[in-house]
Amino acid sequence: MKKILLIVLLSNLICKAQSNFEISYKFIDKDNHITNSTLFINKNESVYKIYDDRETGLDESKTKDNTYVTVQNDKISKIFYSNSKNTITRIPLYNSEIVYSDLNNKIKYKLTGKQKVINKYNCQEAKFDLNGRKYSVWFTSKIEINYGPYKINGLPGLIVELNEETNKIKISLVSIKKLTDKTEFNSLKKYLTDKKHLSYPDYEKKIISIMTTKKKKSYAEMAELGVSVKYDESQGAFTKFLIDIPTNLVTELKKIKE
Amino acid sequence: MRILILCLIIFCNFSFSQTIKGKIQNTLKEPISANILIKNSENKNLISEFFKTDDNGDFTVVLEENYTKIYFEITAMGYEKIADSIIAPSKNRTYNLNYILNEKITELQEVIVSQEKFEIEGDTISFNPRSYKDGTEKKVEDLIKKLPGMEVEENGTIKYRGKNVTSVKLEGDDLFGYNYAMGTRNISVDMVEQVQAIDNYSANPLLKGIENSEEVAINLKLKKGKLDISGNGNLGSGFDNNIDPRNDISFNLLGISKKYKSFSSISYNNVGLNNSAEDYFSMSASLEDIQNEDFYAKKIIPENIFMSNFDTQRANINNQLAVSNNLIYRFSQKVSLKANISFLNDKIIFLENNNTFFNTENINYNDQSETIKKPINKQLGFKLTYNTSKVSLLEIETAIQDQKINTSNSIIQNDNTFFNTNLLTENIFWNNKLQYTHKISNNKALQYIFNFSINAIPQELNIYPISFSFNGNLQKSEFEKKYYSNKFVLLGNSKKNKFVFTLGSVFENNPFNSNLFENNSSINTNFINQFNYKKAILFSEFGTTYALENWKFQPTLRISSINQTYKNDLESTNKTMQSFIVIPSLNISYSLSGNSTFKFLGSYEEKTPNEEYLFTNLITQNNRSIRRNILDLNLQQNQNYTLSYRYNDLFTSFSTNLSLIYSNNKNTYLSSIEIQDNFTISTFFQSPTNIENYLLNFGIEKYVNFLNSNIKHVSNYGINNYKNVVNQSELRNNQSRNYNAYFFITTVFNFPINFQNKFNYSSINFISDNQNSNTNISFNNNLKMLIKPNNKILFTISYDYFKPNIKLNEDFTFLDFEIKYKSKKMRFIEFWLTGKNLLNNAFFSQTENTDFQNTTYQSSLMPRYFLLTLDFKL
Repeated sequence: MKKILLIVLLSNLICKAQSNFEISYKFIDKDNHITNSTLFINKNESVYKIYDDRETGLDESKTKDNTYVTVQNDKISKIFYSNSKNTITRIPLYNSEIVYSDLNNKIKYKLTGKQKVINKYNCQEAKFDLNGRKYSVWFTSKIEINYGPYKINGLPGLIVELNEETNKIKISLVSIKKLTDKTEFNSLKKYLTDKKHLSYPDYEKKIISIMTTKKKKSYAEMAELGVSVKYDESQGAFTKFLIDIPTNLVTELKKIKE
Repeated sequence: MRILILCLIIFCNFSFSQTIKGKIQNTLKEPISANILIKNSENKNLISEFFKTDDNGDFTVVLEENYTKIYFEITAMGYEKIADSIIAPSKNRTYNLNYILNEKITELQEVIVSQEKFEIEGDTISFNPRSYKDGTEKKVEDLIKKLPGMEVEENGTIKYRGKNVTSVKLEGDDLFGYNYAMGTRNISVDMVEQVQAIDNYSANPLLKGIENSEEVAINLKLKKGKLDISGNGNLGSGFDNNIDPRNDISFNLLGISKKYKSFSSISYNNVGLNNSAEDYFSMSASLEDIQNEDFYAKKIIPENIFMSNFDTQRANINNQLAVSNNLIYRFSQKVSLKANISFLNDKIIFLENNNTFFNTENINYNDQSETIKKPINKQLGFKLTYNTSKVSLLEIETAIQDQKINTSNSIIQNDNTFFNTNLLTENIFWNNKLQYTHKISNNKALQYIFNFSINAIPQELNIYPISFSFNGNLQKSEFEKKYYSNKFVLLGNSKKNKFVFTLGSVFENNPFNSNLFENNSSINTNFINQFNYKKAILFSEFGTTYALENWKFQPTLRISSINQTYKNDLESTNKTMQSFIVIPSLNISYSLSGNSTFKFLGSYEEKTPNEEYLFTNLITQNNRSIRRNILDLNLQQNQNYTLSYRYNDLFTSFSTNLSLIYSNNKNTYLSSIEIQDNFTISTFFQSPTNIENYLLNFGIEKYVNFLNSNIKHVSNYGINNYKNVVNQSELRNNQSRNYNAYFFITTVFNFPINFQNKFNYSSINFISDNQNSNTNISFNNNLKMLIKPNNKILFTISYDYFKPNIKLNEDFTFLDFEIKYKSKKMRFIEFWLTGKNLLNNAFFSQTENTDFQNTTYQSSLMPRYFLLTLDFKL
């Protein structure tokens, strides 16, 4: 009996050991700022965290030739928690935070049939649109991991490279190892699951309200100064800090005229 | 048959989809969240569709495609994969796939994905040094030589994909200007995190996207230190075969903060290294010299050129002290100042025994000489950059250079006549530039560029005792040039079309004096030259770049009016020449794909004669030669055509290029040589004949998987036609044909021992008036073995073989070694033990041929030496 117990325990251990990973990714943001990020996988859950410790404001290290790079961030930065059903996302926005959830099965992957070798991994390309953004992903089915950075879950293999095409965000694999210390995973998961989070439709409403107010305010302020401002068609100034763009945000913003 | 095919097509089109369903469990019959991958039966690496099981491990899917064979895999995190297939599946049928997956026993090993070798982003390729280094590199230049597509010339100029790199930036700042070799030859390879090659580089940020830049720049990204200031250096000391000390000492200091960026270096060595951007050994022009060529006065008495057609370090018996400081200081967001200061002092010793045989005359010259060349070079430069507004930029540059070369020569002529010569050349150059750029709109910019420079080259050649059949032992010569130019440039860019319109003027004043003296008195009127040559050019140029799908056309038209005046008061000759010329050029490129490009370049130019052909009376050049010219101000007409193909694929590590160059020159200066028993007199004269040259260049670079090796080959074949007169002969038609081949293989075995082998072959053949007159074939081979038993030690042994002339019995072998030791605990230091020229060869021979002479040189080499070096980082 003891023997059987031992075997069961052992197999359990092996099983666990195989399902827990700490995957490190290089994260290059829209302004070419490079930071580390980690994807923790603990059995059927994952946490993805971007280690960007810049505070909201101008990033002076990137300020060159009179072009200014603004950052919306805080010490905690962006975190994502996923299980098999949904993902809770935390983003810093205008000195506050927004925590919201979204369903995992929204992504419809299109396999393009393109292949390339990245770091000895035979990778295949998948493309998809998600919440107003276009993505392309290179993954390898040699490592059967269904979770990825952001909330790009459900692919049948490890994501080696992820490109968000409009904002030019690039996430690329650096290393993968066994997750031995779960403290960070647990505390990040707790941070997100303990928080009251908005459903995706509520998130959309909230963002639309924040951004439309923002735009109106900015027009008002500028009018007071006697300056005229122009925002581009895609309303990039209001969407660039968002990972998920609410469906009607751009149309709502376009309605606001000077 | 046709009906059958038709039926098949119809059947296929109307057939129903295939459905698969099933349940995936583990050995404990628990449902698993698994992936079902449908694969292409021809390419098992490619997934064509995939699905996931639901929470109960169940799945039901209708396949999107119709398969003649369904090949599938079932995978899940932590489980062994199952692969299976359904052969000849029927349409409109549901297949049940129930599987039990076994847990994976093997644990996933920790995988550190090696850093990518390179990253491509737009016009920038970032190379990660770790993937290209073999451990023998010390300075950045050593690393750059190993990057794909990059080559470093003897004078430090870097070429990337065949183009000259015009600036090497440090963290985005152009600290060194054209003298970047000072940086690449001194910055330690350990400081560099990434080397970025930037194509279509615009030095002026306001012209980015407006100008059609074909320039290439390199940016060095540095490893981030905790402090603003970091330093490194090496202390190397040893002795040579004569127990004389040999040292290689250098120290560099790098400071980077928001306010400033500075790089200072001081180095001393007598082991043959050149740590500067100047080349006083073979006197080859530096990149700065090439860029400033228009501003330079001509040096009429040539410097001693030390010949070495192999590794210069072996023959460069030097004593070099090089100091430089480069600084950029930002006063505010808008104003920054760059300052460069450098000092170089060297003493190069060269022993030579050369033997020249004039086959046409049966005359032999033999000179045994000991030459000591002592150059001193001082440079100081400032550049002020002022962003007067967001759309305008003012740049003001000033630089002064003072260079003195003192060369003393002790010569034994034809085994019996002893004499000494001493050449003192001073070169003072002051260069000023003002450039103002205003961006009119997003796609238009206007520039004003003003240049002013003065260059004076006074020279004195002393020969004692008098070696010629006429009197005189002190030859003086002084050329001067004042150069002014003004230029307005309008640049514009629309969607498919870029244009540049330039309007400008150039004024030049070139006074020249030379005379031969004995005891300070002028003795021979045939040796007096005194003239002033002035040139005024007004020009306008219009160039466009038009892109149409894969084609790019760049036609340019230049119209100029050139006014030359030559005034010789002594002989009261006054010559003027007024020319109005129209110069077209055309570049066409066609890119087959992102990786391959065809190019055609065609250009025509008319040039004023080079100022070195303007003096008409005699000038002594050295103990063996005297020169003069017959004046002619006709413009030289050059036509150049290049056809080239280039293919680059970094992903497969394969690149190749092929180019064919044809040039046709008219009104060039030809030489008439009078060979006398002890010296030659050359007279250069202009000739309206056409001179044609051809050059074929081929290169290939490839990583060969099954050999685990990188292979590189470069071939050059050139045919040069030229004409000359030897001892009052008729105009001789000559042709030189040379072929040069280079093979390089380097292994990258995952094993402690690796090899590098370089093989060089060159042949030169001179034909005079269709008679095969002179051929020389030489080759050499360098084999290097790198042994790396562990991470601490690297042992390199190198074996060189030279055959300077296959017709002669002579050959040379060299053996060198190097051991590097890096302690794991003290990462900031490294030890190197070097042994060079272990076989202690004292002399080396080379053969140089032309259509009428054979010369063999025997030149001295750096003796055997051992050096122990400590490399440190602060």
